[in-house]
Amino acid sequence: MGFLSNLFGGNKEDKALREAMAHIHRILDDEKFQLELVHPAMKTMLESAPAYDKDPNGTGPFGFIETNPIPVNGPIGQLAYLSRLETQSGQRILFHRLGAIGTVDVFEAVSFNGAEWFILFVDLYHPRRSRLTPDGFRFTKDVAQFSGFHKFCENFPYDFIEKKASERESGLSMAYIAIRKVSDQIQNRVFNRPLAHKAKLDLVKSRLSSFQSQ
Amino acid sequence: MVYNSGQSFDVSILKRIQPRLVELMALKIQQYPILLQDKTLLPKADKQFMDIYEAMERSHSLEQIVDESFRLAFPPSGIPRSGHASASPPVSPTAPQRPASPPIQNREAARHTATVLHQSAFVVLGVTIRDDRRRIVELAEEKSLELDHEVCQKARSDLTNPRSRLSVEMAWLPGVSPRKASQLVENLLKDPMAIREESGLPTLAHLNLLAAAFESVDGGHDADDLAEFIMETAYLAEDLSPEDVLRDINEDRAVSGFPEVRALDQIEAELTERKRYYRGAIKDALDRLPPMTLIQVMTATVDGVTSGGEDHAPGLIDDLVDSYEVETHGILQKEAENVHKLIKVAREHAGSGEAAVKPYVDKLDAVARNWEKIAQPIQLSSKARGMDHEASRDLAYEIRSLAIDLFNKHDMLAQSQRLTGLIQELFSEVPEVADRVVEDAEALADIFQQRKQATARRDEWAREITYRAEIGVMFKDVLSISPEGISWKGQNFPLDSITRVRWGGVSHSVNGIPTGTTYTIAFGSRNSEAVVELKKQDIYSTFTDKLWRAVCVRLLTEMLEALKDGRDLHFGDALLHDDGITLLKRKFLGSNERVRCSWSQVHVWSADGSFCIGAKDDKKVNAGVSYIHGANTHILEQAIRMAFKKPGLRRLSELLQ
Repeated sequence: MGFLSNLFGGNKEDKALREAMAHIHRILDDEKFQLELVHPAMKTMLESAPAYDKDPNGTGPFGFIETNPIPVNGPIGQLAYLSRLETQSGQRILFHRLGAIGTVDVFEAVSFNGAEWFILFVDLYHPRRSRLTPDGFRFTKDVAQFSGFHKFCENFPYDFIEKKASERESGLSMAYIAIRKVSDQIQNRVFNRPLAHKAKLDLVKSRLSSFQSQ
Repeated sequence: MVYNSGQSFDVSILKRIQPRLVELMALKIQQYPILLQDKTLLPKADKQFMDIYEAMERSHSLEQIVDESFRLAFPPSGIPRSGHASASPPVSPTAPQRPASPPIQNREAARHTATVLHQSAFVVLGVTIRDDRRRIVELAEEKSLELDHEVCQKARSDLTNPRSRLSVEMAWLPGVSPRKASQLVENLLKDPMAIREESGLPTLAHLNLLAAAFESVDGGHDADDLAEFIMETAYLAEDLSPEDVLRDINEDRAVSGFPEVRALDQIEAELTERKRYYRGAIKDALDRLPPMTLIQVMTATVDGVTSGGEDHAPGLIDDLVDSYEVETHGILQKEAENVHKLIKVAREHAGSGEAAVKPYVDKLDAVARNWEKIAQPIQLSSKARGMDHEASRDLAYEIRSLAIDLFNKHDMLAQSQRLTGLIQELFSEVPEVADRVVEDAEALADIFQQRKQATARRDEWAREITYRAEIGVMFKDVLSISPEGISWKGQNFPLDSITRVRWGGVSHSVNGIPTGTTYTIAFGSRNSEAVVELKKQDIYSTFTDKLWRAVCVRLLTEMLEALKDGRDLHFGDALLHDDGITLLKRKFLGSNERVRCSWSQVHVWSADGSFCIGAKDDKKVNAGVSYIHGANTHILEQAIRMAFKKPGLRRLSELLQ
């Protein structure tokens, strides 16, 4: 951008870029906008549900069991919430949807460095996302671009790049993290499920009322 | 699944989502077979899907939309209530649910009378892999009159859509002539296992037939034969070549008029699916077996293909073992917990002695053997892949730790050796454990051997020193020596209590004529002494020999240790030091003088019933100690004579080294 352009408020390309960035921020952060992306009928249903940080009748560790799922605002809210999580050691997570137990969606997640694996339970039928995090997590201070999918990844997380590309049609791909943030880990094959996680996965899969197989 | 139940649905959308939708529906059907058996169920899900798809398309994943349509069709949880696949337990009662609508009625599960090959679109429409598009459409129309219209339309669509056609072709018998294909599929129903004897078939076609034959395996199938069958299939799957498959498919397509497949990666992607299907077919067959037979088949299979864990297994077997590992994890964990409990109890009872521990070691043996039976296929596979099976390794180390503690802390060599043998036997397929435990077993065997030898030596020593003799002419007394001590005239001296010994003989004569010899043997503790007088030389010789072995060797050692500690010991006029001896220089006039000599300055001899020590360079410097009256004179003599045999020795205590 030239000196004169600056004086007169920037050129057209710059404006387009700013608008695109603002749009991305709204997708990532703005809960109302996230609800706007949902069909009106669905939106009405979500808005009529209770807005809370956790189910007052929930039992068990928050976010780690289907009886105490994380409330979020619809499917985009799922992506936004899970993408904001980071471990206490500052590692954000990659995630994908394993299936559902009743109305609760079940996600498998792994830290960016491949060191920690999780299974998280999320209830998308709420008007806003929870302000709480499951034990061992906090919210990232980075721009929380999407780092996972609300669909099943057959080769999770090694198929992240292909799955991100497949989000182009939904218009969400621009809200995703840059490939370079995970490409090294994918190339170095650092993501290996520990035996204990595999066992847990097996148990959870046996409870799914809807599942995708690998 | 075709979404045409009377409502409009954008064809372009259907075209775009159909491949993934077909996959998702196949999974739903796999999970809930009732969906195929009860023809009223799928249309309900169809309707909901079409109702909600547009609303959710932009914001939800296709998986979420399908799940939601099932939840709406079959509330509360989206699970059809009848014919649920037994492998998946029902949703827990605590799972979140939304308001329910009336449940779907139970239906009897349909009985399978045909294999998956008999459900191929080719069989449904009665077309061959070489029929053209026109023929397929014609036959689909014809079949619609006798079969379910939707089924025929789907089969038609699968065969005429180039993308889905490839899947159907690869699941069929590519490269096999239509007549032969029809014959093979027919034979599959009559004698499924006969397909194993077929030769000359293209690899993919043969594998598809073998996979279909697995559907006939039931709970009574012979375990060894099934293991053989799995191995044959796994080796054959290794021979799959994308290039060969591409050639076979395109040869058939050249006749049928469908466009050739050009991209090898399409074939490769489908082959990956095929291999997944083969694994599923084998796994389903295994799941129909009784649990112990299943384990037996898995063990025999993995043992066979890896040659006892030495060779790499075919990929199909590795995948199968991975599934097996996941499915047996729960039971292995439970058994491992039982082992932990038994180890804990065994440790707690170790203080009460071996008898208290043995019952727990017995149980541990049984539980560990059970555990190993289940884990062995995984152990073998891990070994073949150059890894240790982590759970086996941990368990083996837990048992090893008990074995070590039982020996180190409680000296229970037998139980420790037993546990070590158990680990060696059960965990030989875990290389790290096997190496470590071999060392343990060798160490314990050494200790066992040494103890055995020590016991043998002790027994021999006991035999050697045990002696009993009657002494006296009219009134006999018993003199006895044994490991329990020496007895004489009612007095008993434990061997360890004896601190002094002396013995010797005195020859008598009258006017120069010998009248016999009197022998004296004395032994005593700090408090008392027993003196034995006897005439018989053989008893005297035998007893002093036994006494030497039983007591004097110890006294000699104690004397040398005392010298080493810096103590001086009196023997008659002499004062014994570690590095020499203080003797008396006898003077004719005046008092005697004490002279300290090193060992190199003295020499020794026996004279007049005494042991004599004198300075080499001064005859007046000497000392004599009576054998018969002086305590431990024989021991002193032995020590000094032994020392003189060691050139350059400066201290007597050097004899201890």
